[in-house]
Amino acid sequence: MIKFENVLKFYRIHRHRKVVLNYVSISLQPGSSYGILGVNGAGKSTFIRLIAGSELPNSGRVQRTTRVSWPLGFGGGLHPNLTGRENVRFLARVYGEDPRQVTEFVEDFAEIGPYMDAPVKTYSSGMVARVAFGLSMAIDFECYLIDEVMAVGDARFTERCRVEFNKRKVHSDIIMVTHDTSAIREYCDHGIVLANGNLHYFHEVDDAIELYKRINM
Amino acid sequence: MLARDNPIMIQARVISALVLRDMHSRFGRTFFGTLIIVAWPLSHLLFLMCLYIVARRVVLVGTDSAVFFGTGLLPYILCFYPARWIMFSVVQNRSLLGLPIVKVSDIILARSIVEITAAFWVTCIFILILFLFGVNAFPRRPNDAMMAILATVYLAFAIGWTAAVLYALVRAWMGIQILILIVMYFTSGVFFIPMNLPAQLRNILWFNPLLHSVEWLRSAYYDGYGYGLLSKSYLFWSATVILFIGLAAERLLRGRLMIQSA
Repeated sequence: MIKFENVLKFYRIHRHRKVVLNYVSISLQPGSSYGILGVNGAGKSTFIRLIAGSELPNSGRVQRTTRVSWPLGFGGGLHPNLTGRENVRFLARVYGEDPRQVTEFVEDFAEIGPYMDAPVKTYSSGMVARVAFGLSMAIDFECYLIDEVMAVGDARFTERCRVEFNKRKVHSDIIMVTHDTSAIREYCDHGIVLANGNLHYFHEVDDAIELYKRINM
Repeated sequence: MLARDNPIMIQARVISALVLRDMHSRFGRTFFGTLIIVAWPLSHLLFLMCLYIVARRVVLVGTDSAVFFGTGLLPYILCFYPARWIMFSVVQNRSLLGLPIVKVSDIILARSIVEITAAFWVTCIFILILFLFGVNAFPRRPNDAMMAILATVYLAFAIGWTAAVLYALVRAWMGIQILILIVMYFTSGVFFIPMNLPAQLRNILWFNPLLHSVEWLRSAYYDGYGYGLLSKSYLFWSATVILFIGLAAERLLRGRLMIQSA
């Protein structure tokens, strides 16, 4: 479960206070997947980072009793001077997984061949995305966070990402931020609309999409 | 599953992975790169010692100038290098804060472990080199020498932790810290005996914690050295206060440190 208790989150931009979450309380239950909708700049990515714990609220508490992923496809944890293999082994160790198994999976999934033993700084952005996505799939999480990016690469690789991700979906939850309402319908059980610092929860995804469309007009 | 693991076990696992990553990535991916972590401060130490021995042949205390300058320079090197490299830790690894499992304190602790380990290697190799050159570098009171080195490394850790937080928020802190450490070095008694200075000046220099590191280490080699000046408790408490400031700053400013990584 991920529980927000009276969470306040704001940024100061040019002496102006931009409130993202205005004393919000919500419980995201295990066994359910949530789609988060909101207009540009509403704070959806900030909400995802608060869920992940990679950002802290200004006040209030965020409690997690589940193993939450980093946002899918996030490549920031890859050290440019280390090889793909060394980076994969590092992340496997961090998450307590078998480095050999994780490396084998990513090597097979990312299909970057000998580049696996080259420093990441020599990779194209597409190769970094493939390794990062493979890493997200190689480590078992109870809850996957998706910030717009659900798949990377060309059409064939995108399809591969979808197939692999659907396998995870069977036993893991998803919290997804996207403007793609069809993806929300496909992957999520419930909807949340973030607007003016408030979270509007909807049991039915279609109701959330309807509100989103109204405020987006 | 990780969520149900013992939090201490999770942190230990994250820190050990970060330690390996730091050793393999700081100066290149080869074993030679890892050696530089020890070789750099060691060569700095040996270079300065040779310079002082050549420049000043008169022995101020004891019979061997190598021991006198060595016992002055070693605390400086053991403080300067760890404090500086720990300071860089958060900025150099900031992107890792995007991973939910990695905390600011993990990054600082991992770098501290690498630096403290390097500091002990520097000490051992330095003493071995002195022995190879026929210098009797074994202290009269080994326990005192060991405690002095531990206290100095503790001071470096405290300065490094505080600096890591400050430097991550204010880049100008690097210049300020280097200036502070240089002043500490020149006033620590590396190349003079503080007791020979006028009382007024000595009373001011007393506030430099590195001076007490040098005095403590030298008191392990020379009978009566540091008497009336050395305050072991001042060194310990000044390091503890600095560390407390660093811990409090990390806790209070953690949100800001993480925002800058996002």
